[in-house]
Amino acid sequence: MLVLESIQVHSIDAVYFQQKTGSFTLNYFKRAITSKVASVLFLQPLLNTLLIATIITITTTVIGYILAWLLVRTDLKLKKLYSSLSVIPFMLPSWSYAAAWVTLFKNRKMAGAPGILEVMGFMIPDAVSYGPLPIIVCLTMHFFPLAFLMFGNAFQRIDSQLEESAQILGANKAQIARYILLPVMRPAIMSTILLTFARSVGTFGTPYTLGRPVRFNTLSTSLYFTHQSSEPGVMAVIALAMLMIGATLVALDVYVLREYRRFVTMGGKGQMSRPLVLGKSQWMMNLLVALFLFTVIVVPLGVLFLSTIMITPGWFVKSNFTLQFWFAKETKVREAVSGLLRDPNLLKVGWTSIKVAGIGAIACGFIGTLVGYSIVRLQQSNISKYLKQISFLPYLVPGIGFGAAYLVLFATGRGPIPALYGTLLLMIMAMSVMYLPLTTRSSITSMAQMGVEPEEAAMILGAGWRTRMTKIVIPIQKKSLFSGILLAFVQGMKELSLVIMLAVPGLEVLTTLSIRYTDNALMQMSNGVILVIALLTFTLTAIAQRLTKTNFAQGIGG
Amino acid sequence: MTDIYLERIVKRFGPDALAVDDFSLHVAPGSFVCLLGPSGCGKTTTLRMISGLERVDSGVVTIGGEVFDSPQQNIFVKPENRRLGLVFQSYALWPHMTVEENVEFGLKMQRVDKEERTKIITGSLNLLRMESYRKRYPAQLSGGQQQRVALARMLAVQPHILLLDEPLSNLDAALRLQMRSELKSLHERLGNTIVFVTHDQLEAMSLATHVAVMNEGRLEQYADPMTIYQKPATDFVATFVGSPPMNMVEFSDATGWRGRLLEQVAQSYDLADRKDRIGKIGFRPEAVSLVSARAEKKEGSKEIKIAGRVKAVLPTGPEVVISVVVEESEYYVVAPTNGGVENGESVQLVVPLEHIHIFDRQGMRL
Repeated sequence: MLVLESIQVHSIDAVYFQQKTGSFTLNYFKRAITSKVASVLFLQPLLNTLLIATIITITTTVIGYILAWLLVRTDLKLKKLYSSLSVIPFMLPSWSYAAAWVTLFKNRKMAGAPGILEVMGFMIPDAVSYGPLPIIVCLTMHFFPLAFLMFGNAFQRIDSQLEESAQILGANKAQIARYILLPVMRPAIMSTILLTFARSVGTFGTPYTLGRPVRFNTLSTSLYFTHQSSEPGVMAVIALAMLMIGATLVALDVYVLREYRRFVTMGGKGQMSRPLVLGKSQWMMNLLVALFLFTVIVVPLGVLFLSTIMITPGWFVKSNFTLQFWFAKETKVREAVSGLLRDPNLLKVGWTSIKVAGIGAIACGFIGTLVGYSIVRLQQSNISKYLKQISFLPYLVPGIGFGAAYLVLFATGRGPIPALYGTLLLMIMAMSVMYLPLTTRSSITSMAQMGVEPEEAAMILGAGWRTRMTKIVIPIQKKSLFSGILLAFVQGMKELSLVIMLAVPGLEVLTTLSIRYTDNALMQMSNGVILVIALLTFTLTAIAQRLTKTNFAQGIGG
Repeated sequence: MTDIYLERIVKRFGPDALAVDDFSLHVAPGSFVCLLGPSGCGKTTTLRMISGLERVDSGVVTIGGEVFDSPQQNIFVKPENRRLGLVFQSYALWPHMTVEENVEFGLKMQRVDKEERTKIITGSLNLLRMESYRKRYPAQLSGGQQQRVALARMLAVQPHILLLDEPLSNLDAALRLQMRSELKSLHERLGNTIVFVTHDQLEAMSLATHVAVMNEGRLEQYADPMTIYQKPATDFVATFVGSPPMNMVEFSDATGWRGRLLEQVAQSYDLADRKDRIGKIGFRPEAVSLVSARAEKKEGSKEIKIAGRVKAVLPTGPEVVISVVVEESEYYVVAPTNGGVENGESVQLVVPLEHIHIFDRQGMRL
């Protein structure tokens, strides 16, 4: 479909190209790759994307690896607390860090309230305020929990006797790390790299917030701008490029999995996990981890919150503090803008968010259960293998590219399917496919745990398939289903990349609303919305963890 | 030839978890010692302290005349410098290396040159009949094969001391038997000192030159297997070793038939004046013969008799296990055949006096 879109003349270009709508053209490709605007529209963004995604992947992997090692393999004090805190950055909306960054480091280039540091008298160069550097820093802070979780799980599965055997044979700590741990961790490292890369390519909010003022574009922002300026042909070309990156990643993933299957870590009786005694460095490491977590959690959230209660952020005088951005009927800084909590629009948008994420998550949960069921029951067959690959595919497809694909697919009516652009349904559909891997994963695990016996017992007693599903399987899976749905819901609430392409005026969700405020240079309001989302996701996660007694952290990692 | 001295070893994991309690043991050069005990008795911890993977809280570990671990003297030799071999229960083969690379690793650490390495690898793989699997990855091997590679990996560095932590417990019964005989002949050929941890008493009895029975972090008895079986030092050793376990008659309540029995035993062993010290007596199931209750009651002073009722007859193939209920207690008899007794039949357990083990109220052998 995307390919067709990219080579067919669109109605708005028919006159300009002097060709009939729908006839074959390479103009869009030409425009994206060889024309004078190519470098602006496609080539430079492509390079930028690959560059920042590569660097983010490296920084994220390194930080995640070290952190996971410290929190899983050593006797670091307070490691339980650190582990739960480490997940928080990923539960914030992806561009929270960008928003906090702008609030701190913003300079005169952008309209609206000035940045905190500038108010305090520092001159901030553009390179620090905007562009690749802050994008990389911010996204690293947002994505490292993903790497941390994946490495943490992998470290947990490693038998510490693997290391001890090497030690007995005369290897020192460095040799053990180099010859034993690193190679054993390689599959986990590879999948972390792929996942982080995909997420970095597909993310929209951060490069948009931090890249736009200096015209630093990535594929995701370029995709958005071509959509805004009605260039569906070029948009299709860019989306195609993103999906191709995704497809490459999926292919790599399949290859990597096959390559490493021959040395899967073997489980067995007598496995042990003995933490490494840190000894003298205990104190140092504690300080470092605490400092790091403080920087990535407390500082940005604090900055965001401060900005919402100050007229000029960073100007610490009493008269500057205000609650108007939250509670005023009409704020004094901008006419016809009411405080967040007095804004009827916020309620409406919040409700839309809950509907999209909620219905999407529920659909996701049930489809995931069915898919998981099929995968586990058809274990040996090829169908199971393909099904597994397909259902995990959205994991590695860049989010905004996915949104664009949905847009193109359903923008106009095709046969019996009416045009869905601008409808809630389209958003829900995109959402439920995007998060399918989450629910499928948890379903596969718990289905495998359940085994076939409960179902077979029902079969012997004469229950048909439908009865077995509704009376046996789903009730037994209740807990995993519920936690899968909540996980998808939380992710959906903070999703921006996917829905930014599908939102239209009048159909907004919380995340797009926040971006809209940014567009209107209403930093305080935009930050306020981020905090509202964060509050929602935190509360829901906490409730869900309490209810299901599961650790959510484990569900997020790939 | 290297020996191991453990002197008054204590190890705690936290304030309430005393893993090893004042444990002393001398492992003679070239001997094959089994640490035997139920799970959680501290045997694996003891092994890990010999290897240096765990440090002792107090006490001294001396290997080959050299102190390796002594908190009092502030001496600790790291495991990587102890030059011994340790095979884990999970084998812990490195999954990313082939069989060959697994075996080669220790030699590389010792900076053995390439040519020599190849020779040694071939040698140790041949020894364990794994030569043809050189290029395989561990995941492509069966449990028994992995076990052999784990052994070859440690044997390649020619350690004087080989520590084995339940290496056979992941194998199926047939393979376990085969590996047992291989281990025994390996020990006879190489002559190194072996310390072997197991909870399987049959394994300990059949392999070891000496068995150290442990319970709750303490040494119960240290002797050769036959002594352990025939002269258990404590009631714990008596019941832990042997299957079905030794039958025990407790005298905490010395009335009725128990009282008569206690009297008889005390008389025959010249313990009449110390009667109240006797806590219990035991007899092995195979020392018992069953006599039908209807049989002529011949009073003999050379044997004890206990009347009971047959609860179940359990043929195992080579022999028959018969369970007999006496009041609320259940006793086992092992005999070549069931001797014509049937379920529910009233019988007499007849045990020659010389087959009776007497323990005091603290469980120590009298």
